[in-house]
Amino acid sequence: MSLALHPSDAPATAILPEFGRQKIDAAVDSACARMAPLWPLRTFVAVNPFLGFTDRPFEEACAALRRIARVDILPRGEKAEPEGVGAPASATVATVAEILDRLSEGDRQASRTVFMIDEISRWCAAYFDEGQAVWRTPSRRLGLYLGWKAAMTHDRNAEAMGVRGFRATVASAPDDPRAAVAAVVDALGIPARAVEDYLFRALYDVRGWAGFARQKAWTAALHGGADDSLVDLLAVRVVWGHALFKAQQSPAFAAAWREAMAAAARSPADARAGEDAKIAQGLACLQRLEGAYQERLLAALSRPPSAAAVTRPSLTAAFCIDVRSEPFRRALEAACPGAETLGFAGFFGFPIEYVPLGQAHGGAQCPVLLTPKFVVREGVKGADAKDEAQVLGLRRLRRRAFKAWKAFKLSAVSSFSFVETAGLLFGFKLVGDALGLTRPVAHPRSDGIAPDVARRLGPHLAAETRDGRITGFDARQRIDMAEAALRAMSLMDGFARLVLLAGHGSSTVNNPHSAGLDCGACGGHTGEANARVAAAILNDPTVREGLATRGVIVPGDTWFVAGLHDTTTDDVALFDLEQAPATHSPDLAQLKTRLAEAGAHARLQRAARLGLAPDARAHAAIYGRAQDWSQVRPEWGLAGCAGFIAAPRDATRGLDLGGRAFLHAYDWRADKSFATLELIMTAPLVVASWINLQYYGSTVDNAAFGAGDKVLHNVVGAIGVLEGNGGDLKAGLPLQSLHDGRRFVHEPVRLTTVLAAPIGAVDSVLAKHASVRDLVDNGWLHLFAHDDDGVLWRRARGEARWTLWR
Amino acid sequence: MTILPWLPWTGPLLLTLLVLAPGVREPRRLADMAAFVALWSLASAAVALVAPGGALRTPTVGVAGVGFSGYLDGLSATMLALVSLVGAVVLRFSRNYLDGDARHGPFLRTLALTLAAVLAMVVSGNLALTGLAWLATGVGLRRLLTFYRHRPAAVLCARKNLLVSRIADFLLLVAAILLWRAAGSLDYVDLFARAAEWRSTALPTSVSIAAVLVALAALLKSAQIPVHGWLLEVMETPTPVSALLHAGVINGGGFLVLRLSPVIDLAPGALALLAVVGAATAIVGSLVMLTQTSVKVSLAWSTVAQMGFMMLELGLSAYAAALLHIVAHSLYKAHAFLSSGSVVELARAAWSPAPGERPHPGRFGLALAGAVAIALTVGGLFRADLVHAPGVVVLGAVLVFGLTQLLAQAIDSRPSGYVLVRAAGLAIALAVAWFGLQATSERLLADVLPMHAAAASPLAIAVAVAVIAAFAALTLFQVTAVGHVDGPRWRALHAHVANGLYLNTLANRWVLRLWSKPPRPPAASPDINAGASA
Repeated sequence: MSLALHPSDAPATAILPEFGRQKIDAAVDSACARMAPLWPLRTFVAVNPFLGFTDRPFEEACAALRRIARVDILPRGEKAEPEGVGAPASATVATVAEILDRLSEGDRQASRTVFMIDEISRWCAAYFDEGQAVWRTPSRRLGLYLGWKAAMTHDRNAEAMGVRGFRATVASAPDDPRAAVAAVVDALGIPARAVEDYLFRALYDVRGWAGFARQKAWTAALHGGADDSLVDLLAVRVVWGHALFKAQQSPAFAAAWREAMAAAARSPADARAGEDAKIAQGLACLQRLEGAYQERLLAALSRPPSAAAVTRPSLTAAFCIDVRSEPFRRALEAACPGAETLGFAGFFGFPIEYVPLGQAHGGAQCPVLLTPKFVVREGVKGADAKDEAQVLGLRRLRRRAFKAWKAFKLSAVSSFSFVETAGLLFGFKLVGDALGLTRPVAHPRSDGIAPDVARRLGPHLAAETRDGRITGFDARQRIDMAEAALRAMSLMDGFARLVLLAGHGSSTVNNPHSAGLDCGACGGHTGEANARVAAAILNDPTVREGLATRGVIVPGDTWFVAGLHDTTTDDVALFDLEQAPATHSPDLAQLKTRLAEAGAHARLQRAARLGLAPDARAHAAIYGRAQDWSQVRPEWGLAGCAGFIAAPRDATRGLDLGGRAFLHAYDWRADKSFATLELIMTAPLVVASWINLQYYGSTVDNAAFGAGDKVLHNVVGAIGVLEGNGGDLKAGLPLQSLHDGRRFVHEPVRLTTVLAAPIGAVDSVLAKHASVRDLVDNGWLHLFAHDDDGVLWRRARGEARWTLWR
Repeated sequence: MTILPWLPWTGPLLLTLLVLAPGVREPRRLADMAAFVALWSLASAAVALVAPGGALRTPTVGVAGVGFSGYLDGLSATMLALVSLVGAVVLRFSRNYLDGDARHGPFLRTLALTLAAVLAMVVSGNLALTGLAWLATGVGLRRLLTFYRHRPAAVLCARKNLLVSRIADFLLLVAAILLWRAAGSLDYVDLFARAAEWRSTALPTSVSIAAVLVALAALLKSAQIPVHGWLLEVMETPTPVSALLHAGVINGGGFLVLRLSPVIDLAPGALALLAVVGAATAIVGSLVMLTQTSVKVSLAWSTVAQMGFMMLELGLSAYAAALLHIVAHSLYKAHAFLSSGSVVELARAAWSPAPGERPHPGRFGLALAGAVAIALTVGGLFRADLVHAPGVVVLGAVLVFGLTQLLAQAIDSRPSGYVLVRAAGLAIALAVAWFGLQATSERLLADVLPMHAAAASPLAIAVAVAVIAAFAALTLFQVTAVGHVDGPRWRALHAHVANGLYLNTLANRWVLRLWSKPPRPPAASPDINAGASA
C-alpha cells in the first residue's frame, strides 16, 4: 500500500529509504506482542505482566525495560536508594512526550504529556465502555482508530489545552493505522535501530488500555477470530505524539529531539545487562530472597517419603492448587486424622461455560489458556420445565423493571425527580450498609430471584439444545470427562466413602477487584459450578460402570460431594446433599463438623496476618471483614505465593508451607506416558507462574505494573479502574493487596517449582513445549526435580543439565 | 436562660476538642470516637427539634450581633441532622478504608475538623460566625483535596478550588458588611426582623447588592458552571472525601441562601441570578453526565446538575423544595460514592434479555400522556397550587418528564403487562411521594422559610418557560434518540458534550499558566504510596 494517502502530509511521500514499510509492520507486530493482555474486572485473570518478554532471558528483559521504559523490575532490597538515584543517565530511546517532559523539567502537566494520556484513556474508555455511559459516542462504530479520527474532527479539547493544530494533524494522518504509524515514524526521523523500541515505548505509556486491546485479540483468537484494536491504539498514540511534535516549534525542542534521535541510533544491546551496576545489585537482592525461600522449602522436602497409608482414608478431599488451600488442608488433616487431601486445578478438569439462569451466554469457567468445551446452564433444582420457565420469565421481567428504574435514576431530567422522591430512602440504606446489615447491591448470583429459589439454583447436566446451543453432557462425554479428571488428579484408587471436591471463592462487598480473589483456574469465578458438575458426573451410576470398563474402579459406597471453600472466612459450604444416599448421612454430618473445626483453626492461623489477635474475637472480626463495604483488605489472596509442588501428598504432609505454595497432586508411577506431567507443566504450572509474576510485578513497581491505591480507584466503563480522575487503565493488583501499611506482605520472588518426576520425563516435556521451556531456560521460574529418595535436582538454565541441590 | 440552646454547638466543639486533644493516637480509635461524636450531634438535633418553644436562640457573646451565638430552627436542625448523619457514616467508612495509610491519623483529623466546620456553619447564630465557619470549611476542604500532595492532578484541582473559594469568601465578606451597615446587626433574628420591615417598605439598594453577592458566593461555592471544574477532579483524593464533599460541604451555598432567604427573597435580581445559572448548570450537567465513562466522574457531573437544580429551585422561591432536595441528594450521593466500588457487581448482573431496538416515536407521546394524567390526578388530591407560583409549575413539569422517562422505558418494543403495570404503579407511588414530601416539607418549614405566592414576574415566567422547554427537549432526546443517532452533527454534539463544553480544560490551562510550579516531590517517608509516585 502506498503511503501517499494524503498528499498534504509531505513526509509520507518519502518511502522510508532506510527502513522499509515491511520492517515497520514487523516492528508494529513485535511492539504489540510485548503487551500483556488485561481482562475486565468482572472476570479478573491474573496475567504475567512480562508475558511479552518471556522469549528472552530475565536479565535481558530487566535491561530492556530499564532502557526503554525506564522501569526497574528488580527488588530494591533493604537499603533502598532514594527515588531517582541510579536512573539511566541518558535516555537511549525517547518519545516526543519524554523529550517534552525533560524540557519542562519533569512537569508533565506543563508538557501536556499527562493531558495526552488522559485524552487517549478517555477515548479508549468511550470506545470500549461496557455499560457506564448512557449516551455512548456514535463514532465508535467506525473502529478504535477511524472512530477516533472521526471524533477528533469535532473535538476541540486538545486545542483548548493549547495543542495547536491538533485537529489538522489528526485529519492529515493516513486512514490505515499501519500507514499512519509508518508516516509518523518517518516524519519524526526515528532511526532504524530504535523503531521497535520507540513503538513499544509509545504503547507502554498506555499499557493498561493496550493490554485490554491485546485481550480482545487474545479472546478473538481463542474463538478463531481476529481483532486489530491494539494496532489501532498504537496509531492513535503515535499520531497524538506527532501532534505534540508539530505543535512544538521551539529551537530548544528541535535540538533536544535531534540529539535524542542520534542517541537512539547508538542504543546498546540488552544482552550486556551485567555491566549495569544497578541491575547486578537488583539481581543479587532477588537471588538472596529466592535463596532464602528455597533453603527453607527444599530442606523441608529433602526427606525420604513416609510410607503411604495402606488403610482406606476416612475422607478424600480435593482442593484447588491455590496457595490458600494449603493451610486449610493442613487444618483439615489435623481435624480429621485419617483424611487424605489432594490438590488439583479448581475447575476439576471440567472446562465449562456456565450460563446463569435467564442469560444466553456465560463466563468461561476454566483457566484462561483453555476454551470451554461444554456449555452448562444454571437450572432450578426440583422444578419442572413449567416452573423453571416461570422463574425465568419473572427474572427477565424484574431485570427489565430494574432497567427502567435505573434509567429513571440516571437520565438527564428524571434524575432530579429520582432524588426528590427516592433520595430520602438512601438514609436507611446508608445506615444499613455502614453497619454491614445490608449489601450495597444485590449479589449478582441471586439478583432478581426469590431467596428460596436462589437456594435451589444449580448446574443442569442433561444434554439438550437451548436457544440454539448444545448444553450439558451426553453419556459418552461424561465417562470421558470423569476418567480424564480422575487420571489428572492421580486419584485412581484409595477412595474414601466420601470424596469432597472443594472449589473456592471469596466473599467481599463493594470491592472492584473481588473477582481477583476468586478462583483463577475458573477464570475469575468461584469454583462452585465446576465442583458440582464434577461431583454429579462422578456420582452418575452409568459413569461408574463406564469407568469400570476402562479400569478405573470407584467403590460402590463412595459418594462425591461438591463444596465451596470461602477463602475470606474459611467456611466450606456443601452442595446437593439431598441427593446423597441415606447411608451417607452420618458421614456427611461428621464431615460438616470436621470442616467447621478446620475452618475455625484456619481462621485463627490467618488472624495474625490480618492484624488480629488469634483469640475468640478473631472469628467475628473475619466474618465482619467479609461484609464490610469499607474493607480494603478482606483477605490476602495469593500474596506470598512462591512455590509450586507437583508431588504426592506424602512428600509434603505435615509440613507448614505457610500458605505460599501451589500444591498439585501427582504420582508419576500412575502416569504411564507422562501425559499428566505434560498437562501439569503446560497448564497449572503456567497459570501459577502468571499469578506469581503478577504479584512480582505489582510488588516491585506498583506504579508500573500494579493497580495503585484502592482508595482512589474509579471504575471506568465497568471494565477496570483508573487511579483518580484520569490516567491509564490500571492492570495488576492494588497496593492494599500486597502491603499492610508497614511492609509488603508479598515477597517478590520467582516461582520455585518442584516436580516429583523423573528428570528425563521433565526434559522431554520441555523439549516439546517452547513456551514452558522459555520460562525455565530464560529464568522466569526455577525448576527442581524431586526423586523417590527425597533428593532434589536443580535444572541448569538454558540446557538440559541437572545438578544436585546442595 | 437555659443551657438547651447551646446544645447544638456541642457537636462541632466536641469534635474539635477530640481532634486537638493529644490523647487519641490510634487512627481507628479516633475514627470510632469521632463517629460517636457525630451521632451525638445527630441526637442533639433531634432533642432540639422536639424542645418546646420554637427556634432555639442563644445570646450573643460579642457586639452588634457579631460574635459567638447559636440559632437552631427547622432549617438548621434539618441540616444539622443531615450533616451529622453523613459525617458519622463517612468517619466510620474511613476507619477501615484508609487503614494502613501512613497518614491515616492526619486524614481523619482533617476530615473531622472539616465536618466540625460544616456543623458550626449550620448552627451559628449570626452571619459573621457562619462566614467564619464557611471559611474554615474551605480551608479543611483544601487540605483534604491535597491529601496526596504528590499527585499533580490533586494539586491542580485544589488550586482551582482555592481561586473560586477565595473569591466567594471575599464576596460574602462584602455582603456581610453591607448587611451589617443596613441592619445594624448580623444576628439572624435581627436580620429577619429587618427583612420583614423591608418587605412592607422598600429594600435598600445596598441590601439588594448584598443579596446578589450572597447568591454569587453561593453559586461559586456550589460548583456551578462555569466554575464547576474542581468538583470533577476530587477523585484524586480518597473516596470518603468525595462522599462528605458531595453530600455535605457542597451544600454550603444552598444553606447560606436558605438561611438568608427572608432577605434574598426580596431581591428579584438575586433570585433571577440563581435561577438562570442554576437552570443552565442543571441542563448542561445532566446532559454531560450521560456521556461520562467512569463512575466517579459521572457522579460528580450528576452532583453539578443536582446542585444546579437546587439553585434553580431557590431562584424560583421554592425554598422548602430546595431544602428537601439538599437532604435527599446528600443521602443519595453519599451512598453512591461510598458504594461506587460495587459497579463491577452491578455490571456482572447487568445482562439484558435482548438488545433494545430503536423505540417507536409514539411511545414518547403515550408515556407523556400517562405521566401528565398521573401528575394531575395525584396533584389534585394534594390540592397542589399550580396556578400561582412559577416554581410549582416548573417543578411539576420536571416530575412529569421524569415519570415520562420511566413509563417510556416500560413501553419498549416488547410491551409486557407485568412491566407496564409495575411501571405505572411505580409512577403513581413516585407522584404520591413527591407531592407528599413537598407538602410535608412546606408545612414543617412554614415558620422558617418565606412561603408566599408572589406575583410571578415576567423574568420568572420567562425563566420558567425556557426551563420547561429545555427539559422537554432533553427528555425527548433521551427517550427517542440516545444510543441510536449517528451522523456528523451528532458526533460533533457528543464530542462537545463529553468534554463538558471544554470549560474545565480551559480552566486547567489557565491555572497551569498562572501556577507553572510543579507540585513538590513526595516526601521520603515510608508512605505506602511512595512506590506509586514514580
